[in-house]
Amino acid sequence: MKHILLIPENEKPTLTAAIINTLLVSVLLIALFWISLNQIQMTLDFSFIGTYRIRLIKGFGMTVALGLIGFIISFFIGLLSALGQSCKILAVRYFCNLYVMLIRGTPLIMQIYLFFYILGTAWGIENRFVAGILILSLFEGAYIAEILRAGIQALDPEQMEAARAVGFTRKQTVRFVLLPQLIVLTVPSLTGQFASIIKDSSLLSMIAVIELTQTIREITATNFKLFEGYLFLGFLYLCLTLPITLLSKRLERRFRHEA
Amino acid sequence: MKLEINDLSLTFHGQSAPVLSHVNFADSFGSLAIIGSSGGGKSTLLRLLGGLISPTSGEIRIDGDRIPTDAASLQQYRKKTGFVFQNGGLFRHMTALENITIPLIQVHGYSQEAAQMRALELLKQLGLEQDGNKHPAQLSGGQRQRVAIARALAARPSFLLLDEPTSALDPEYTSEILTVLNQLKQEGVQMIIVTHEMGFAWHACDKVAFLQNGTLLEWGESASLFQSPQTPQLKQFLSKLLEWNR
Repeated sequence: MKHILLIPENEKPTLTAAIINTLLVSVLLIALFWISLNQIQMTLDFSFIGTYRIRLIKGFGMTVALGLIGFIISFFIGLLSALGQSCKILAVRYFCNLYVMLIRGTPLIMQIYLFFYILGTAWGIENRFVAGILILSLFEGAYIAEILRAGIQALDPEQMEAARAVGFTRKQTVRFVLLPQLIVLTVPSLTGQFASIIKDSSLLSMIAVIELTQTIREITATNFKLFEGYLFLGFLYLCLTLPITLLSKRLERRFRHEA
Repeated sequence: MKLEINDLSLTFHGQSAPVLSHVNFADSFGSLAIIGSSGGGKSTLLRLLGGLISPTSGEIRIDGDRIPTDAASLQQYRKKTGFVFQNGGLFRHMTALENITIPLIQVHGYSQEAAQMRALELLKQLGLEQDGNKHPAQLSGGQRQRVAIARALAARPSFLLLDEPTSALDPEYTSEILTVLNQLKQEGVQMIIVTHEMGFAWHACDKVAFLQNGTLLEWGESASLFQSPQTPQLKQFLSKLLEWNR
């Protein structure tokens, strides 16, 4: 019994122990939830999923699109500000530092309201999808800038010297040494950030971008099935984020011996 | 090879004290060891010889040709040398084989097949035929340095530059690498080595140069330099080393 419930130091759990303990945790969680539902005398009814499936699929697609496009744009914003933070022109450097500090220091929901209602209105960006993606990318770009900056700092100067010693030109050094090593150093964190972008995009429901969360908000506003609606919402987000998180962990393990 | 160093000085940017000051040297050798206390400028001198950095003043000539100072010619010059670093010289994200083949293909214009053949030949010569597909982290310290030597030799450079190639190694790996270097020397590979291995400097190198506090105090035939050092600094340096080696 002891070797099933406890992990010996510096060892991996056996398959049996892993299965038994996973089951145990799941049963406990479900039981807690079940008892809570009974306490408030609720029965769950998920039949609305079938009724609203078209809207749900559209909302899901919108969330995937926000995540993907947001990730690409925020990557470039992050790359530019990471490079800008070590720029020789002091004003550029300060600008990038300030951008990263302000964005990381304030909540996304405040930025959404500020950018959409003030800047968006002032500059005529009225398309909610476009505005949403821009706001989301600005927010995530600051986090990606930090990931990339940490990666650049973790590069070993000796590796760059070795690249010169074997006769690589600057371009070849970037292509064959710097970029591959930067990828190894940053891809696991970047993948994790992608999962965050998908979750953070839910806040765009505040400016009525009809993505997954907004779809559920609208549906539950008419049928009052709040519990079922948000449970299902959580399930759909997990379908997106869990595989990405697992991928991120795998990449981290795979790259460990290379970095 | 013939090496001439004329009034070479180097002060790093933003520092007041020079790392090397007024170094002069003129001699011919097949192998030269540079010895001296840590922080004396040995590795810096080797980097100057390898064209990895440029001096503040003075010049270096190898077989009569001056080492250039502009970036483009330096890159061409580096193609003709083979540099082995103390420890971290292999590209971590490449396998042992790729560490050798990619520079051959990209820098020296080898075809994929020719590079592969040359790399396998060298790995075999250095006893690493089983390890070509491993990453540096999967190799022992001694194996890593042998791969680094193979990479440095791959494009048939005019000479090897070795920066304390054994100082990060266990004693058994140290002798393994020194044996390899000695064999290469017998085969006619010319080299300049910065080392703390006095036995190797004495018995395997033709000439030895003694560098202290950025100044080249003494150089000459290795046997005579070790047996009858001229400067008090070298006498002191050698006697300190011998204290535990009697």
